[in-house]
Amino acid sequence: MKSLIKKAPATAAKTVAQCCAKVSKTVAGCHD
Amino acid sequence: MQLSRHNILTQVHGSPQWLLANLLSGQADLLDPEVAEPLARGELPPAGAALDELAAKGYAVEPAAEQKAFRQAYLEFLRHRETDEIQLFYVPTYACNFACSYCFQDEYAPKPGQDGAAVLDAFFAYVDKHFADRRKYVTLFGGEPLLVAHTARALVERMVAGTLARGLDLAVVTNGYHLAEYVPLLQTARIREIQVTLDGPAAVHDSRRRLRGGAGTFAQVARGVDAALQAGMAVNLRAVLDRSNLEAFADLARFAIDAGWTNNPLFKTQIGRNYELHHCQSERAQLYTRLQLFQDLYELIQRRPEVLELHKPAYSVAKYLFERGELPEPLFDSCPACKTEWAFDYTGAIYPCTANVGKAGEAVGRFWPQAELSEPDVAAWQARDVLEIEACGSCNLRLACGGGCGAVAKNQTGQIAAADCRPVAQLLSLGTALYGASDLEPCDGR
Repeated sequence: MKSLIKKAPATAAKTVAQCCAKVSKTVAGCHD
Repeated sequence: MQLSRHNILTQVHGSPQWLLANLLSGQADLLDPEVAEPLARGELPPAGAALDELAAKGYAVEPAAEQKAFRQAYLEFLRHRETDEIQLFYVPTYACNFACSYCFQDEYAPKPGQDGAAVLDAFFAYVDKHFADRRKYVTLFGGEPLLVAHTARALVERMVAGTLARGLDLAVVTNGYHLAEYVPLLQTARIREIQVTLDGPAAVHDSRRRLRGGAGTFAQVARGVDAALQAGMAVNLRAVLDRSNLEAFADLARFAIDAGWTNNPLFKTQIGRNYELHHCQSERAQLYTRLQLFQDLYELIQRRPEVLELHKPAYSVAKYLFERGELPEPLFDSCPACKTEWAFDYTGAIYPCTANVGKAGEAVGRFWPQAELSEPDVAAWQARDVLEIEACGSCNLRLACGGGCGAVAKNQTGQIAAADCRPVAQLLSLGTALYGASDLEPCDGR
């Protein structure tokens, strides 16, 4: 097994856009 | 001890190796086939170092302990969402100077406008009262919000003033045709970003995104992008893709590189899939499924690697993993509607999100002439997550997929709490091949 995780577990929640594209939430069209 | 319910195991495209990822434990590994294939059959290795490593990384678990970790992660997700920034869309009009071949609003029958200034003031009054304690910003949406008519400009001026008075960022989603003329006004606002769409180089873009009179729009939109970037505003360039313009995406990449856009830190991109949201907007045979789009993008990138200078497709969480060396937090819900996204329009109606703003029967309340919300409708949207959607219950992909889009699910099934599945495993297979090449060769002496 070769780990792809290079960072130690974060102590704070990582900011990930909820919308499915996982890109900036300013954009429209996250419904796809 | 058993295999985690959240393991995602997929053979990497074009490679004998496999990717094993687990969003709950936050681990991702490349496996040789002799390790992966028994796992794919659901077989755990015998007690020993191999099983110990699987257990240490959360790929092999005690079910009760994993259920506890799942609940804790869910509570953390809810806590984070409670304080997350809210995006408030405002639609000053559904009118548009474009006649795009795939417009999803073309069957809308909007009511005539009332007093636009009074309705916009009511929007800000509603925001002040109902979102007072939340981080938030406003996005101007449409229709096309940046039209040349005096009434349209006056509303944008009022929007800029209203957001400035409250210290709020403003984003704008525009076709870009009149963007250059609006730059001096927008420069006075706290612009988060301007979203503009180009569907290819001039000939291709102009065949899809033309003026109502039929004239092309590419050159003027490109001038708008230049003007916004030169004024120091962030531009998010969107391309709507289907089979008829995918190859042209590479030509658009070359244009953007030559224009100096891709070297500008204010310039970013996104792709949109041309698909059936409410009805078939264009020739159905030209439309991609999600997987087909990303498969063909993968092939295009092999032939035309300059595409990656314009845009790096996400391939589920693959880009995130290989760029950051970690996985994102588990995604219990990918639908922001009535949670971190609301949409308001000039008729005084409130909608869950941009996918259904303006669509008959989809409003969940009003902010003008008086404020009222349908609590049952709002509750139905707010309850939607992978714990609420029955089909997600047994799915190992749910913490990467998040249940997909509620608006699409409702269009397809009539229910908000239904799944809009994403081909996560296949996307990760392609994305690992694309972004993980340095990890894939050689591995463990192979």
